[in-house]
Amino acid sequence: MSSKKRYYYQVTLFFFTVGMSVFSFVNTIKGGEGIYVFFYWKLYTKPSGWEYSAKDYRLYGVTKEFDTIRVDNKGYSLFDKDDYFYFINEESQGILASKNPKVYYADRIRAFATAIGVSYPEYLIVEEEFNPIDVYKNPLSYKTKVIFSTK
Amino acid sequence: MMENKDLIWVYNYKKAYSLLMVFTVLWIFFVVYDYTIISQRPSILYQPIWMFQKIFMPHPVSNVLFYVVAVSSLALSIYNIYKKNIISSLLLFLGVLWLNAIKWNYGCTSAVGHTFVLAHLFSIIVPSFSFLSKKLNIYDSYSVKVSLIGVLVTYSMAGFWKFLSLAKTIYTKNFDQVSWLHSDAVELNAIVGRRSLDNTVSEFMFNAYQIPYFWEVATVLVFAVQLTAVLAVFSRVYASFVLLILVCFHLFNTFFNDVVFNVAPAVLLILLFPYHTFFKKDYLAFKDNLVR
Repeated sequence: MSSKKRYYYQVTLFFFTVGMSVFSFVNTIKGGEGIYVFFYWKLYTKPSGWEYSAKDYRLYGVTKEFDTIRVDNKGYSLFDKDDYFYFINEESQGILASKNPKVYYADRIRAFATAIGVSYPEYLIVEEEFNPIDVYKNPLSYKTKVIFSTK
Repeated sequence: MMENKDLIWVYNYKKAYSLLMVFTVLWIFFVVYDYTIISQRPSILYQPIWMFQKIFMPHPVSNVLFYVVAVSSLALSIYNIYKKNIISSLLLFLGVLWLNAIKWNYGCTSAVGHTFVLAHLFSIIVPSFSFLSKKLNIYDSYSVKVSLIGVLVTYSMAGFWKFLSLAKTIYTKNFDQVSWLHSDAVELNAIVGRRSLDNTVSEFMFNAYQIPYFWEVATVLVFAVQLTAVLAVFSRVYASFVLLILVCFHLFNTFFNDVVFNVAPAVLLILLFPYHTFFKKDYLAFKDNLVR
């Protein structure tokens, strides 16, 4: 293939990928998914916690004696810190939007708990809300709200 | 005959492509290691999200298929160092596209690895410069530049959205709201980012975030470099500057904000490194050996 022809194909490929990125963006707005590997890179347009308020989601276990225990995101062999965060966050978003029936999430959350090596009769997904500046000064200053129980 | 300033891009891409292949070998070993972990996860958690995943990996991938793709990609990476052609680099692109998607089948997706895959996509059409048997043409340097623009445009898009958001803040004069120009922006972002992984911001970094104006200026600089990243192909000096700023930006986020962009800075370093200044003798030899 001549160099000139390769260059024209290369330019065509470039505009194709930009077009796919635009398509990814439109599709995401419509509630769909982006077209892998063409992303539109709308990331961190505002700093996280910009409203002086942020939410995290965590797995909690409930013991037989009804004590609730926070399963910290400390990094597990099958789910490192990023994986724990991504997984629990996605499940929480799905739960809040009632995307799937309750039993779907209950089964997955139990399987996740087993995979990271914790075992409780009941699991909760808890929304932790905090002011970032306060939580920096005192790590325990957050409000909790149960958004899901496997019971 | 091509001018020196165009020849530099061809020479640097020749080096970059070989290194991209070496890096791909290492990346494949990492993906194999990752696979040995994630394949132990309960299959009930397997949930493809992208259309690509739903079509090409609707169920947990079998060991045989995984290792066939991994080993083929490994072989192609080594082959391409010596004899790259359109078919071999297209097959390698498909291999890394598939391998990169495996990790994101467990309820989450991420853009980690996208620039790496794009670097492969845009290398397909660029001719092989390993053995120069033909006269180099000005269009060869154009192909190289478009290849780099194809990867860098991801940064320009990221910069575009950030400036759009800043413009909105300025237009609506909504300065009470925390935009990236607010004095609390970087620490809020760092605290929230680190807490999501149950990490805390150190006292040292918290105090560093209080330095007046430094973070606002650094933020605007990084955003401006992101937005104009595609212009790097018009000036070798600017390309080095873009490389420096973006690599610093990635490393800062990796170390202080727990953002795992581990592949992106490596890809940038490979693609934009000014090899011609560090390997001057080799570059001059390359120039002299060109078929005239």
